[in-house]
Amino acid sequence: MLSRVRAVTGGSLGKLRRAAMFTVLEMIFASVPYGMLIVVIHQLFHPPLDMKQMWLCMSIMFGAFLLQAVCSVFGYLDAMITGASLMRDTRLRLGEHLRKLPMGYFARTDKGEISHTLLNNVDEVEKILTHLFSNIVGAIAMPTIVALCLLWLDWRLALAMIVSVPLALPLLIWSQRTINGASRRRLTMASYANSRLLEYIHGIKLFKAYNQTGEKFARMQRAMKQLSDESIKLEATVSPIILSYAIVLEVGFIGLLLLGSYLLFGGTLDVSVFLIFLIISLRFYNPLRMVGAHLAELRYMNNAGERVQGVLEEPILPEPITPKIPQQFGIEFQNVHFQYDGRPVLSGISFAVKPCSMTALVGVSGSGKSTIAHLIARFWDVWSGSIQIGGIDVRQIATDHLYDSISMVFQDVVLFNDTVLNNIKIGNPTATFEQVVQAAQSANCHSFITRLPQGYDTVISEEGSSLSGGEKQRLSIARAILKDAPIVLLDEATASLDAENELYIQQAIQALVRSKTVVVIAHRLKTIRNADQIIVIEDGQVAEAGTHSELINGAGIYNRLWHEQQKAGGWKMRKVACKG
Amino acid sequence: MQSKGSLRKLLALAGTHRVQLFWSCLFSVLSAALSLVPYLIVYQMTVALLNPPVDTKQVWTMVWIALGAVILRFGLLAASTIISHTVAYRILYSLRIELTNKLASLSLGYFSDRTSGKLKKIIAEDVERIENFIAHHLPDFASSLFTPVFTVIVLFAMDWRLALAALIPIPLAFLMQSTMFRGQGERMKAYHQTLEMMNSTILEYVRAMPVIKAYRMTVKSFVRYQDSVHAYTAFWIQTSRRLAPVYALFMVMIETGLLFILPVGIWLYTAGEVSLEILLLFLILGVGFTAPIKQISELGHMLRANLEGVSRIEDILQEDEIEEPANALIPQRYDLEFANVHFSYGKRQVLQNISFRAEEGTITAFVGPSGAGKTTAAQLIARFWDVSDGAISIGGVNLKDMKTETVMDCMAFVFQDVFMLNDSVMENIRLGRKEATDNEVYAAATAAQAHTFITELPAGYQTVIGDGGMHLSGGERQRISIARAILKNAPILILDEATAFADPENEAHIQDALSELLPGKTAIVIAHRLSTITEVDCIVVFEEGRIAGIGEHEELLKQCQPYRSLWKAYTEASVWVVGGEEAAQHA
Repeated sequence: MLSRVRAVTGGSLGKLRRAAMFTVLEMIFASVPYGMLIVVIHQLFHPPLDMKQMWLCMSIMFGAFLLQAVCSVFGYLDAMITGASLMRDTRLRLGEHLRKLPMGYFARTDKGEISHTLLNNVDEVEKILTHLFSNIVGAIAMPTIVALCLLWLDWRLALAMIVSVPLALPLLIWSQRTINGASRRRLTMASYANSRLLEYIHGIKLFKAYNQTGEKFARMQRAMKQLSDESIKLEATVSPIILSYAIVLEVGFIGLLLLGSYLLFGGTLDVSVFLIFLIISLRFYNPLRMVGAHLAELRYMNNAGERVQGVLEEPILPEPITPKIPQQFGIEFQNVHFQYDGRPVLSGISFAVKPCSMTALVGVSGSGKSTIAHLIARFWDVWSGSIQIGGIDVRQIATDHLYDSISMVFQDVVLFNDTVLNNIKIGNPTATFEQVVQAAQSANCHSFITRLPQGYDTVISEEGSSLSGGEKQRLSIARAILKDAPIVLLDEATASLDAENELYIQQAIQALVRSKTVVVIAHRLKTIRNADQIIVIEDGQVAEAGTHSELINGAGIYNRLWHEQQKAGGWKMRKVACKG
Repeated sequence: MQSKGSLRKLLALAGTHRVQLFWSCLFSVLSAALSLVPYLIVYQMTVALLNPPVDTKQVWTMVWIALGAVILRFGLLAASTIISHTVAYRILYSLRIELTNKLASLSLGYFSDRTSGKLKKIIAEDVERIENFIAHHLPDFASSLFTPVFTVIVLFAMDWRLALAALIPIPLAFLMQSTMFRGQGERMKAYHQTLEMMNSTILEYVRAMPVIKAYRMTVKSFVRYQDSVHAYTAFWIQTSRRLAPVYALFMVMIETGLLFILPVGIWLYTAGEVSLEILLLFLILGVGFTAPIKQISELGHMLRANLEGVSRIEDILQEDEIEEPANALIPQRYDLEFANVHFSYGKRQVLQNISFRAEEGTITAFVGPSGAGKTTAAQLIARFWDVSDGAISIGGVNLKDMKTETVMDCMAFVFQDVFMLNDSVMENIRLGRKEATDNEVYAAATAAQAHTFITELPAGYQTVIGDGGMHLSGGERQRISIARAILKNAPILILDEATAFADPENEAHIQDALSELLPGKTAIVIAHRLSTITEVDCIVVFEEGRIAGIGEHEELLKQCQPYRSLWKAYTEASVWVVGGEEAAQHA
């Protein structure tokens, strides 16, 4: 019952055992009044009443109530605290685990789904610990105790009462099987609908612009409809089975009625014993009936746990057993092959970048330039071949060390819903304010930052939607400058900048090149004309390599691209004569 | 106040399916009534046994009644459950659609003030919580109220003194309950806040993964992740500590009936005031009849959390929409005019006194340094925001006098930040015009120079792209976005840095595509590459949210200082190169 929870929480169950113990004790104390009831009814049928014994009974009942309350407090607290703490640890573990997964995982998994697992599925598993576990333990303990007492009182009637339990059991097992499928479908749909909703919120501008809002965004509308249908289906599958289980269970009461009357007529049964059985049996079936519903829920929660476990079991990028530390920062690709979902991206790339030099990657979009940058940072592992930094395969370098050696500016800027200061400080969390300002100045963003309402303390809205594209790009460059790592990877870092800003940024980058190994991806060939090396990528292969002057004199792709761009540079949006 | 409004909303939601819910509650109550049958049988049996002789026929009658009651009881319960759940999930569905519709009618400012995690939490989780109210609480409330009330009436009819004794636990329990509810409103607010915080940060963490990895931000160094997870746990632990004793006492207290019935009963019995049958009846019924009250308490408990969620749902629904005109006009021409437009973004004034006119079928370029307000001005044309002052009109019709749909129908956008749906390439392009045929999509993709690379994807047009799908390069995404605009073929075209990520070869292709797309359209073009716009009809120069100059290229070069410096920077950057000696000389 708890193997899934154990897998999700990494083996620890905290104080759950203690919580279970308290619950069992609570149930023992809770059944005391029924024991007392047996005594009282027996007395009532066998007068005269022994008042001393009556008062004793009542005192015991009172004491049992108090103890029951105490056990209930401790059991409840243990379960709640265990559940909450374990889920906190699980969320932290999941967060760390995600960070160590290859980017391939994120490329093929919808981010809405991942966040759904971290938020909702973890909460669902938590309910097993905080509610279900105690409930199920209690719902089994209570009838067991009652049954034991009654067996001692009259085994024949007790058996008649219990016999419906094994009869109902197959229904319970059947319900578990049926729920499995329906609950998995519902969980998948919930996660999917969640992703569509997030997609809708993130892309709201686009949906508005294309008049596909609300139910007009058919994919979201369908997802929500399906979620609704799956939820109804789950309920409609489960309820009838669980309730048939309840019916079979309570047929035991009728069996009791029949056997009791039969024995009574036969004179082998005392009237008081029969009445005691009739009264107490009503308490016997109630908790057992609840077991059905609880187990159904447990199955659902376990299926949610499967999803959490699935993420935790995603293999992380393998870490080297004996990590090596590069002494210099030249980069070398040796016959590197790589593909995404069957689409070959790189096929046999080889080139070398000298330390403290600049290499530009050029090629049509989709040719694999960004992939090369990502492979250097080991976002993915190569399929074959090897990438080396300072002569050491990147797979032999501890990933944390590798990331420390690289500053990256991505095509898609990522900003956090935090202050400008903290957004830049991601580059170096220990940097002083002066260092941050300095980096901001190099990235030419200091002046616009100081014009923001609260300067460096202005909180940037999610995805930086309150900033212009150029401003966002400059912030991400400031972040990279602040990091001051020996390798700098720039993927279209200045694409959305105006000419003046681009000029400043290029100067800042140029300052970096003197002491860093720089790899630049750029489409504007003019900006990389003086790189130490230009590598032209075509269809995942190195088509040409050399300096600008070498390449421009060849008759290859670079030459063609260069001239195309000259032509494009001369392209103009033409004035159109006004109609009318 | 707040919670009253929320409760009203909750009931109003339930009210949309009141007939079904009535049946569900009725079945639930009937089922609860039938659950009393075994007790009555036990009582009948007691009476029979105390007054012998008992005949077999009587026993068999009871058996059949018991059997019928059990089957009917759970049958009714199943019916009640299925009805209430069906209704609940239908209501959830329509509420979610209502909320997503509502979001679309809000200005974009709404979204920059809130995280998507927070909005998602409301539409997904807070709405989901309503299921509890409608599917469980409503029918449960009906039945859990019915059983105790019915039992109490029976008990009072039998003997009022014993009945009073049996009732003692109820006021005691509710005393506990009220201490439990003290401060519950604040607690639930705190609960929703910590949950929102955790939603936002976890979502942010997942979405920022490349940066998280590259900057080696562990969950410890991305402090907000850790903080929010800790805060959520801390909330639960603190609340449990505070409530556990009262809660446990309440749960135990509610079932202490026997403790009071027994002494009173025995005293009355020995005094000859009540018969053995009556005493036994109280012992049978009096013990368990208060148990359903637990459910009422739980209901009250969850209702609080529910209401707080509903108030957040209400907040969205009450949010001021971008106003739709009473008498909607439809523009007959497609010239565009800004008249003294002012716009502030919170406290930050972004645009001041912007006035210009773009004639139908002409190209107008917005130029200026980044952050000067070009993108904002372009987005105001789509009424993503409302202007703070002044007016924007299309064909002489103020945007505010048009339906949002009309506004959107007359323009096509290519945004700077291209957004791809996690769907096939085909559907991503078809977003431009829902009813477009496959062939029209191919044609648009071809015109946008995207057809070739699309056909090279593993599944061609059926390849799934976007979050979780095939990764496309920046230039590829931009071309898909242009294909969308081409497919839409609207009279007004807004291009925000449409070629920023294009490689040289494709830039030429995209420009070819634009050359085909532009004629006849009123176009607003934002471009940093000034050479591309030297021959457009009109250039609007932005500087710090103001217009620094309007005119044609040559004119501006002569008269407009800011334009001149932009042009100078542009031409310098064009010859500027990274690395090496030559660059140093130029710099």
